[in-house]
Amino acid sequence: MKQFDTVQKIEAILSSIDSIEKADASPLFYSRLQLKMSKEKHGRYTHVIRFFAQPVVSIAAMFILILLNGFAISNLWQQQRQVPSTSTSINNFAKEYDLAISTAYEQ
Amino acid sequence: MEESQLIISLQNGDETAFATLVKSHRQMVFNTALGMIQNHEEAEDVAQDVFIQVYESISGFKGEAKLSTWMYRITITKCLDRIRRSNTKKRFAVVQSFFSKSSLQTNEPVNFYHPGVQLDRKEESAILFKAIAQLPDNQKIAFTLHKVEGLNYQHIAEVMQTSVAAVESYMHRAKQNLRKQLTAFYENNNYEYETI
Repeated sequence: MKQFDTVQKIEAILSSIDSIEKADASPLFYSRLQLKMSKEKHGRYTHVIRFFAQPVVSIAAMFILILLNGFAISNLWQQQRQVPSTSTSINNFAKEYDLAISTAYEQ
Repeated sequence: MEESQLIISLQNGDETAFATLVKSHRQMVFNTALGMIQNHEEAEDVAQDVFIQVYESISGFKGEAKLSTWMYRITITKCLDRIRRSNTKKRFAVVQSFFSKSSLQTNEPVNFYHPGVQLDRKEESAILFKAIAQLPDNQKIAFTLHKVEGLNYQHIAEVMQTSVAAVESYMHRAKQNLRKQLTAFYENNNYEYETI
């Protein structure tokens, strides 16, 4: 009996919006809409700000920045490892421009 | 003004045509948004956004669908966006409450009373709207467009860009899910709702 009651109540709830009437917005809708449109028109950078304010965009931008930083740091580190010692580079320079000091013994 | 004429005028940026469009489609957009979002102020805000988007993108409207169908699609998309954003905010508030000393301020949805429901059925409809809000998106869209907006299955299929059979399936599953939810609801709150 109780189960029958519940079924009846559920059916009553399901049919509660069968004869629903359409709701309408407030009479000031159009003037509010115009106000909103003019505000959006004047806010020139609103779209750009709104785009960057999206969590997806800001998180993606943060990851790109982190990646770029990581790439730059690893590049710098590699360059530092490859830089030859000062004495070797001076010797190479001297060899290239034939600046080796000749001594009397060599002549 | 005929629809094709109205579209041409809108594409030419005619302000009077836009006012006519708002006047003729305001109820349709607002009622759909209200059924989906179940909040008067937010529904009006979404309805405004829909008309702004229509104004901005009418130049790209090629007339492949009826103007009303196109506007229903925009309304539904905006509503789903709004609902997702609101759910994200709620989840963020829950996470934030774990890290803050203050207790969680629960934004439990208050009962929604649709202004178009008969007075003697308001309580029942509030329970139903609460259950509709829990439905998956496709079922919610089909059920709301059919029951609240009064569209037939053919028109709903055009709005959702699917077949009539798919809409029938969404409706069938929506009713099944609603029955399940309401049964569970009655089993948990039997005492409170004995009086209804």
